[in-house]
Amino acid sequence: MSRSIDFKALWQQQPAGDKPDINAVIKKAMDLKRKTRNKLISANVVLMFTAVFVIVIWANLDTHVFTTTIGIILIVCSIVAFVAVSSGLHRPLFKSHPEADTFTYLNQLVSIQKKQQFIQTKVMKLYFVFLSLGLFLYMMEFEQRMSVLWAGVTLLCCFGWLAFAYFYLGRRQFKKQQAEITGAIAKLQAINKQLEAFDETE
Amino acid sequence: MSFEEIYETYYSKIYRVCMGYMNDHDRARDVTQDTFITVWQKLDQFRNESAIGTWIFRIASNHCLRQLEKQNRMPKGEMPAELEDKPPPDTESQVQLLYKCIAQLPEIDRIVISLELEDVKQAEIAAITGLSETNIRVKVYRIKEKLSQKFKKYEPQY
Repeated sequence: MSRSIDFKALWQQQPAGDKPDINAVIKKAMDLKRKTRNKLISANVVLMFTAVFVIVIWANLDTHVFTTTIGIILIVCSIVAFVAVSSGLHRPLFKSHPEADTFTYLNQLVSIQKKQQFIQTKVMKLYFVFLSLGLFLYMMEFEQRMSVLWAGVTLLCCFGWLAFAYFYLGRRQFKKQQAEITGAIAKLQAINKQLEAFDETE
Repeated sequence: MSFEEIYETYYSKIYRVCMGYMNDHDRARDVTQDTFITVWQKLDQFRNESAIGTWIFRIASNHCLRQLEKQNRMPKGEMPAELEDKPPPDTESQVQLLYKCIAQLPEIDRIVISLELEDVKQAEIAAITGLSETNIRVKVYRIKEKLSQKFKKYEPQY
């Protein structure tokens, strides 16, 4: 029991194994950068194309009712606002500073997770509300020209799809992501407490 | 310092710190690689405000902490089953025992002791974690005590 343990000597004996080829590391870094950028761009491009498509239809339409115009404006605005807000909130994700000290970094991670939670709850809900409202106003003029049966079918298809997207597809993904984010926030805050608790006891 | 020099100098050090945090060869290798990917991406932004070592160890320890979001680790406070049987006192098993004991500490303690054993100055560990140097000194002392106790429990010759 008398001899003290040389932890440093033991620590250094851990073999690090073969170093991966440096070029492979650099290649992976470049791929990762490109993939992250492409993913963000492609999501926004799809949405922006939809907005442009709606505007093109509007320009070529012979509309006489103001609800159609208001509907189109609402649809385009909700798409543009969604892209702007979610890209703005996602930006810190790619600008997080892993070279910051642990305490600062953990706080950054917690705030990023909270922003993600905000996008998934408030922003998504508002987007769907305005999109549905815009779509409804837009369709009013055309619905009036149709027979009751066709008007019912088109309305059912359109809003049925929106409801399916929001309540089934969206919710399912939402629940999974929420559980992950809430878990991650709790864990990060628990580690942060290790730092804070130590500061207070000293 | 070029990326190649950094990679040569720090690969083993970073790997050991990751091993201390995770005690899992494959995950430690992955996180070491992620660390160097970030180093490569951010090297042009390094402004010599801190030593390059401090900067790299910060990136490594933050990558280790991010693993929490990705996977569940071993439940805290429980010794792995294979440690219940006292291992033979050869050096290899002592090295394994040390890494296992470290991996059971709270997350911040794991980072602090890994850096200390990697011969990083306590002032630098303070800069890496955001704690004060006094805090680090006390923490290192307490963690070493804790590790010694664990070792004595499993290695009666100490």
